[in-house]
Amino acid sequence: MRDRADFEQYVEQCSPRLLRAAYLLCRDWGSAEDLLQTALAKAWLAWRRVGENPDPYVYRILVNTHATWWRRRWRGELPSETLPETPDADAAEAVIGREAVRQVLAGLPGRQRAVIVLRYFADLPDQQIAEILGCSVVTVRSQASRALRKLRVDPAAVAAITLGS
Amino acid sequence: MTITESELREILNGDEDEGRGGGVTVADVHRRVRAIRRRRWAAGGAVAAALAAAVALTTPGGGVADDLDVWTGVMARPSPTVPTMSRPPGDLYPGNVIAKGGYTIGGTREELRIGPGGKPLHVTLRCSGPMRRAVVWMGDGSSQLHQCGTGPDGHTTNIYRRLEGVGVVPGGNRPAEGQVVSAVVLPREFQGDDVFEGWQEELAAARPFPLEWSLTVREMIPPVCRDNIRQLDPRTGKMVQLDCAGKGGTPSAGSP
Repeated sequence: MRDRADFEQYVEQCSPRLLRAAYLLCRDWGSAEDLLQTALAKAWLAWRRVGENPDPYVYRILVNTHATWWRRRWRGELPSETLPETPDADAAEAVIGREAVRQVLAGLPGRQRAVIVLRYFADLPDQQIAEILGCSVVTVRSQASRALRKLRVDPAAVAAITLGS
Repeated sequence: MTITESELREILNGDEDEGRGGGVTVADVHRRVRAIRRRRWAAGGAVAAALAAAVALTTPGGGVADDLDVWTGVMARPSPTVPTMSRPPGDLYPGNVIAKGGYTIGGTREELRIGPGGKPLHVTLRCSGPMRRAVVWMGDGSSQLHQCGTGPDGHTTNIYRRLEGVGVVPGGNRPAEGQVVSAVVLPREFQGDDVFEGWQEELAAARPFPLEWSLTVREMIPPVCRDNIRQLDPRTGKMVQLDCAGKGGTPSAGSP
């Protein structure tokens, strides 16, 4: 049976990677930390029922909690006394391609972004992603395919997804 | 321009200059658990009051609302909009594991050799079994005494400590020749208040006994620089704004 030590070990070992996943979902480190703390707290409350591999369960909480927050959270501006950093022109040239991808990723609809994060960051199989998102494998692949087109990923890879690989 | 799936994976895994999350701590998670439980109790109290009022107002043949899923609403409630953290701005996080040992015998001093490096250290010591005393040493011989194990209330205490002021040369660097971190879990079950009382005698008389425990040493790393984030500084209780003025990834507190 899973116990407290087991949970604490999981948090220590996996939270950096989970935090990165949370960041990819919400694109803000502060919110990501907030989101992950809440997700892990919810996971702990059900820890005895979690199976051998807690990852799918924790990812499900992460994605669902983010979706709920996104619907409810006030998204107005916060007043600020300092301006954000200005972009560095030299560095911008070198990273412009990647930055463009990040921008597109940030603009993807929530469901598509979740599919991309779970498929290409968490490396979960489509079947497990479907269970996490509560949809069919076909839907996962079609969402992935649409997102990859927007991200300008190699059309061959997009076609492979459509064909079910 | 198109990218490959591998490049997409690389982008998702992040670049160095994008900052890397040090994760969240167990203490932060348990604090959040307590907050959720408090909300549940508060919601439970409100429901109980509402039910009492409904019972008082409903005629014997009347019905009350069903399918009142209180927990879903409470659990799904977002935190306040302003993100808050339990760590003061600029405080270091436990980062990469640089040495780790798992043991099955208690009462014997086990050591980990740490190479030279420029970052302060953090040690985690986990013990199975009942509450016992444990001693952690740095290379210079200075020791720290702690409790470790599961108490009568079922609560397990592990040791999470930044090794400050011991074995660290000025400037926070470790000696060029590296150093040794060692620890021992003492045999006697401990339930007293004074963790320091008689521990040297117990250590001197300690004999090996079966016990699963582990020692992990990590390097402390600066937190991710999060520009324009407002947070509550637990040191002062004031709201501050991180402005990343330090550039090197260490946030500095902006104006409150």
